[in-house]
Amino acid sequence: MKPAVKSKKRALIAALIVGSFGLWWYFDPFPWLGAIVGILAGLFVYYLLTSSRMETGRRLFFIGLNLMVIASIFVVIAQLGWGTFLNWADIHEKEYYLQGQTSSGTQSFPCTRDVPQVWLGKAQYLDYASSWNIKFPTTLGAFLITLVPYIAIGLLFGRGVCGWLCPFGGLTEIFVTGKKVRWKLDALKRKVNTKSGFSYAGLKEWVKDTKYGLLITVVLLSIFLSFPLVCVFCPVFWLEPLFVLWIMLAFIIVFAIILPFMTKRRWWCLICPIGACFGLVNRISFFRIKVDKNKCIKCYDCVDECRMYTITPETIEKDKNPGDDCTRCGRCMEACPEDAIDIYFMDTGKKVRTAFISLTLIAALSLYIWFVLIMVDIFPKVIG
Amino acid sequence: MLSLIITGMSLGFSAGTSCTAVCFPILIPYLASDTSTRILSGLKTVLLFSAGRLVSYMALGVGVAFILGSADISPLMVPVVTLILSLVLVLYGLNTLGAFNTSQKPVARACRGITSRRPHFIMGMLVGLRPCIPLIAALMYTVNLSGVADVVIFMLFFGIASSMLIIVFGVAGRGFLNLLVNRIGLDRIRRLSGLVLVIMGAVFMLQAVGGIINA
Ligand code: SF4
Ligand code: SF4
Repeated sequence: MKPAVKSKKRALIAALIVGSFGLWWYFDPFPWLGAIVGILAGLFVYYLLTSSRMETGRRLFFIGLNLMVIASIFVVIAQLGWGTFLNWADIHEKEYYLQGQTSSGTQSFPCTRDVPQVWLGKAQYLDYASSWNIKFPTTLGAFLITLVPYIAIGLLFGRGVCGWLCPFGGLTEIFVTGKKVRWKLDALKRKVNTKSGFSYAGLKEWVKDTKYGLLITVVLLSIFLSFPLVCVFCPVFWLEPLFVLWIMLAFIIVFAIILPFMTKRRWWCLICPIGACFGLVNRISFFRIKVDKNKCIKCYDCVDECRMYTITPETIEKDKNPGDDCTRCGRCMEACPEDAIDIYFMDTGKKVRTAFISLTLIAALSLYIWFVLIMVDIFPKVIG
Repeated sequence: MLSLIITGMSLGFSAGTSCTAVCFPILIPYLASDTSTRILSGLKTVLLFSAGRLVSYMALGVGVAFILGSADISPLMVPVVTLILSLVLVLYGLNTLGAFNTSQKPVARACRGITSRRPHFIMGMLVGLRPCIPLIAALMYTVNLSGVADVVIFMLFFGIASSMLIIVFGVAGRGFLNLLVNRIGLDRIRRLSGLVLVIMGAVFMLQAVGGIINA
């Protein structure tokens, strides 16, 4: 794969922009952290834009950030003790229906109903640290402030969120690394033979649609039971009754660890209803993966490499773009011997890999480190 | 008598939205799994479903007023009924997905037999046997009524009034599904409805198991 930029100057400018953002975003109240984040982010963007191994870089970054998040959860539980944590979860659930409370106390981070603040983790950190006591919104307000940023993020990145930003995607990514497929899961596959003799086993339609089934179920249950959609995914709601937690953990172990490891496919993302939401706006999102039919020699290396079964022989033969499940991970780009695949601005012929990488990094920086800071610094104080 | 009907209906109307909330997540995928896209067939489904609910309500009313003498229904009843409902949903969903179509194994054949007919009425009965808050309020009222006829009339009109929204939404839902059929195709709608029924069934199963453990 050719690097995203032809001239090092463009990479330098992008690195300066992202690095400055990191510096500014963390400088107050942590100047030292701002300096470290700014320098590392700048260097990393420069590497991603000038290297031919963008996908490998993405994977390391994504896995690293997510390991940090997972570690922060264990740190919190170790600080609080399991009993206190469960007790808080219990109170949190019982008081859940009381709207208009202050966002400290039993209502606490990391609640997705705080989405704009979660996304801009800094605002939330400062909210707690300086006791601004922002009022929790009503159910409708919560629904809207959750929905609007999700749509905005979806429009910008589509399922790129799954490939670059989502913590569950990051966990799954650890286990799809490598090439050895141990389980073929033929019962879930449909075989396709192309005219050129290439044999491909894609997913059956019902398997692909499972995530939409989950999404519709969650939406029906939440709308008609007046239960905000996002809370279904909150681990706090898995704690009561406790056996739901074990079921959810079993889900995570099977779909984010075992199946990805054995099949080298991202099973969690293949069935995730939130991913399905982003998939719905994938087709209208700004940044899209496209195959240049003039360069493609139909070798299907990209098809073998795609962990989402979304670039298929049909995609290549019928000159279509990868489907709704494309996570913009870049594996196909890196696998293609002809450099026929890239990230484009919508349906135009304009390549925008530089802008995409810079924006995803900014999005990741605006969230992850604050998330960890809130988890280890603020959360135990609020709950403890 | 008239005051009984009026009370039953007012309670039923006021309970309408919450009844619709309880029934809709089941009714919509159930309607969508139908092969027919005709509005009339949707209306028939919703009416039979509502009739099943009515029968359950009346039976519950009589049971509560004359057998138990109070609205303290056994804590096991709701989770057990939910468990049965969840099994019906899962089986029906699997059938919609065609899971039993080709297999000749005895279990698959039995499941195919059970789910080959659409049990609208039974589905309504099962949903009706899971008392929600408005239904419990209505049942508490029946404890003070003096004769079986009074209880049946009260619950009948409560049930009819609380079904109105379900019927309207059910038919509108079928119409909306027809619009979707034109966009994404009947096969996909059926596949999605089968998946939703299975997943919804699994969610109810979890809820039922939780309820049984807690009871
Ligand atoms: S099509 Fe390419 S970018 Fe999209 S998920 Fe598959 S490998 Fe990743
Ligand atoms: S790897 Fe490149 S050349 Fe080969 S089929 Fe895919 S797009 Fe075409």
